[in-house]
Amino acid sequence: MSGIAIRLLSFHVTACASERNWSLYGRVFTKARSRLALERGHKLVFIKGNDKLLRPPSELTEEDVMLSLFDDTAGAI
Amino acid sequence: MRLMQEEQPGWVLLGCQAHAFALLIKDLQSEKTVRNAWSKRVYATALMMSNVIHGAEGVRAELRAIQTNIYPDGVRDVATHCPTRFAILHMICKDLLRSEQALVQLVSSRDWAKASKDCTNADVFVAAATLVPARGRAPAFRFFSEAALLVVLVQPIADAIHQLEADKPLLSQMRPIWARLLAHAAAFDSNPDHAHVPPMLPLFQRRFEEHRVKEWPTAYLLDPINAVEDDGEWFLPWGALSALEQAAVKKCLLRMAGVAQAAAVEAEVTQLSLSALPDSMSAHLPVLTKRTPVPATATTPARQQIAATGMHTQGGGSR
Repeated sequence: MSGIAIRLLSFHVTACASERNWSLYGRVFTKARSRLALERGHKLVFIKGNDKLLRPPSELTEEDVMLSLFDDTAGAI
Repeated sequence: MRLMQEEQPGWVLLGCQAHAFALLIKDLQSEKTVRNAWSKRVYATALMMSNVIHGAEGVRAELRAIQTNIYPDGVRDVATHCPTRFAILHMICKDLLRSEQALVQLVSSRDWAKASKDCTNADVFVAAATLVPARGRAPAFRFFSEAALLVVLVQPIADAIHQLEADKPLLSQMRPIWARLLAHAAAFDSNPDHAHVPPMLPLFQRRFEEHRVKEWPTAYLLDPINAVEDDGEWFLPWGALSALEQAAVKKCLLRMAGVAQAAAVEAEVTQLSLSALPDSMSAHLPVLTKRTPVPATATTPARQQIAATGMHTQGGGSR
């Protein structure tokens, strides 16, 4: 019965993780990159996925972002 | 799929439960068979208000100016409708409730006419932010009161989606999650303050029956975190299952074991239903079953809580 328990307790009940994954694939394999080889594509998806996980979450508020944009614009002028 | 499962008895057919909960919220938005014009109207109004705010820069700028004046935490954003995001209408409702005072001030301000001159729904927005008067047999409708009620009903569903994506993604956890949701719907219906709202439990039950997986009780039984202690010994939680569920568990275990292992599994099931778990397993169970209770937020009136704290919790992830 332990084998059955391991099987039943290994199932995920949502498709959220896989949906996030194929969404990422969709953003990598675009029409503009139709000659992208499968192996390189896999590597890009791997890098993008892990890069997003490793990056610390932004603590900027919407106002901070707007102010930084204004600063950039002022610098350019 | 069912024919394939007959050929392969070890297979388990599963649907995505996060989508099941999203469909439950969608039922509240567009249900036809149950009389829930109430929730449909609240969600339609919330969607219209969000679209008006995000569709006209003048309205959004005016709302932000008012929010900055009256709220200590400044601008409170209102979520934009994104059809592929779980529980997005619930999140919009919560955001609108957080900005109730600002929205009422917005439509009564002198600059409203100028700010909303490009909006086709400006009049409907004003009525929604204040009071839609009674018309014929239809009673008066105040969006914020009804939205607060709907948030109370839907918050546990949004929390369940969040839990499924985070700390409760296993098959054994679906049975208790659905049991809590059904109990919440029953408690909502029995509250005398909600007498003007049609019963919601049938809606929840119908979704539950549609998405129920027959392996849930088996997974619940076999998960060590559900083991129960009695007089220093640990047992599988047979007592938490109904007679029908217990029969379904035995049937499921025999099916998954296959013909060759059926006799051995049957003997093991009989032994574990009559006696305690072996010591080698029991040694780990005190740690595995220990839980620190988390204070529930769903039972507190959402409107006061949101208005007081300005809190915006995550309602669910993206599909």
